[in-house]
Amino acid sequence: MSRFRARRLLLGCSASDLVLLAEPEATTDAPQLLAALAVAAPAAATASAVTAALGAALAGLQPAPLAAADQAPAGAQSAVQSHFLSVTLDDGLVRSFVVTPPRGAQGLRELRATAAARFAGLYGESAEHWLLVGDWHASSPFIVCALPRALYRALDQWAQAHSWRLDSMAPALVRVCNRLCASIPSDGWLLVGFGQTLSLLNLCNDQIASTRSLPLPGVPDFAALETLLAQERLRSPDQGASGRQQSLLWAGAADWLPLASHMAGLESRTIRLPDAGAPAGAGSSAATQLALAGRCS
Amino acid sequence: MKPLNIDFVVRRPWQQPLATRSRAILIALGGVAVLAAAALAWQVLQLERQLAESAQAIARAGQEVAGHTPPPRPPLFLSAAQVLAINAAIGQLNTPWPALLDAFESVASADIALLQIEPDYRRRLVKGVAEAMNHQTMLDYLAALGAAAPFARALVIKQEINDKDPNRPLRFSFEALFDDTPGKGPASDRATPQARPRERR
Repeated sequence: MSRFRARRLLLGCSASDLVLLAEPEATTDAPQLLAALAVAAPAAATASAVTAALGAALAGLQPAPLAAADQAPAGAQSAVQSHFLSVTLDDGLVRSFVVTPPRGAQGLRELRATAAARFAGLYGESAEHWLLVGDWHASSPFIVCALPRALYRALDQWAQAHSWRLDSMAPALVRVCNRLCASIPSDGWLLVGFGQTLSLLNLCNDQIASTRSLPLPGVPDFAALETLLAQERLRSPDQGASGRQQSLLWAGAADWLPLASHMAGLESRTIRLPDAGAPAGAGSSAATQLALAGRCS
Repeated sequence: MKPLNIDFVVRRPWQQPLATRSRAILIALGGVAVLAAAALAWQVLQLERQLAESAQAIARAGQEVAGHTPPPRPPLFLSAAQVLAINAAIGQLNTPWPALLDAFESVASADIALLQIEPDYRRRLVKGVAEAMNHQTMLDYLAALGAAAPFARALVIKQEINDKDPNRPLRFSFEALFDDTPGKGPASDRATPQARPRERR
């Protein structure tokens, strides 16, 4: 066995709770719960208030020691173990939007400037305090995700404080897209549900048309989801432009994901991300679902 | 749908996908190319310097060799008269005497007394003076001489009766043209020496 072993840690981060899991070395084992913490509700629902609350909660998130089976055996040569932290963010913490590149765009700098201008136009504030990351394309619309720089710094400093290497940080929508990219309909909708957040991604001719994240006030039923979907379809200007029948793909780990084969007149199917590996005591909170979503992506 | 390349963590260059690293790879390749070009240019400069040093060394060696070499002899200039005299001497030396004498000996007979022979290399002939008992003997002798190699033909120049001799022999002068061209035998007009004396006679 190599003396240099890497251990992957999974952090689920939502506005209401934080959960840290340790991925086991054997694929058959369940992840180990290292820490779970409920975040105090911020005074206001603004991004800065949520970020401040999460930053304060991170300071109190102290991981438990790793399982004894993962430690070096007594008497054996001590192994050097590094830890990679993978953070999955709730889509409510991230602002995701679609950017259409300008005609004749050249270079990443121009695309970044376009994304910043789009951000300012959509949210009415400068992108200076936001970290913008996109799936940059010069000829087709692409998704850009914005994260408060303060939240990124808080997570980075928290990882450094524990001598962990921050390996990946992405919103749940991106995790699901990369995990189910082969199953996502080229004309239709991808609806991702984690906790109380529903994210919608509309595709037309295998190109991204729009994206939107909605905080749900409570656990929605089938009729509420159908109504919500109909509203979102009305907002999308490219409905039926391709002339092909659209379909729906529900994905995520939320309990309220519908299992119907048809919904709002469209063919629908649901892929539930496996949460059977949730460790005992972690429950099925949104943060646990998010942490597990970053397990295999 | 293609996977989304979205991650808030900026990965290190060697951890990024190849498409993302293309610019860095191109820059690295460009840097390597610039270094290689600089190395090649330096090598070319070194070679040119070595070539210049070698050329200077060769020039110095040539000067040293020239200093130790005696001056060449002045060219030999000859006047036209000298050239003609030398050519005349060479022509005389090149006269094929053995062949000529063999030809004369081959046609010698008791009826002919050969008194004198004198070569004329310029006209490529041999002048001779001989005495014969009669005209027929003279003509037979000249015909035989003209047919003997290396002669091509023999002509009578002058003839007279030697009255001082009690036998009154026929003294005649002749010219025998010789042709020492390899493979060229006696000319086909060997009868000419016989015909011409007859005509003159």
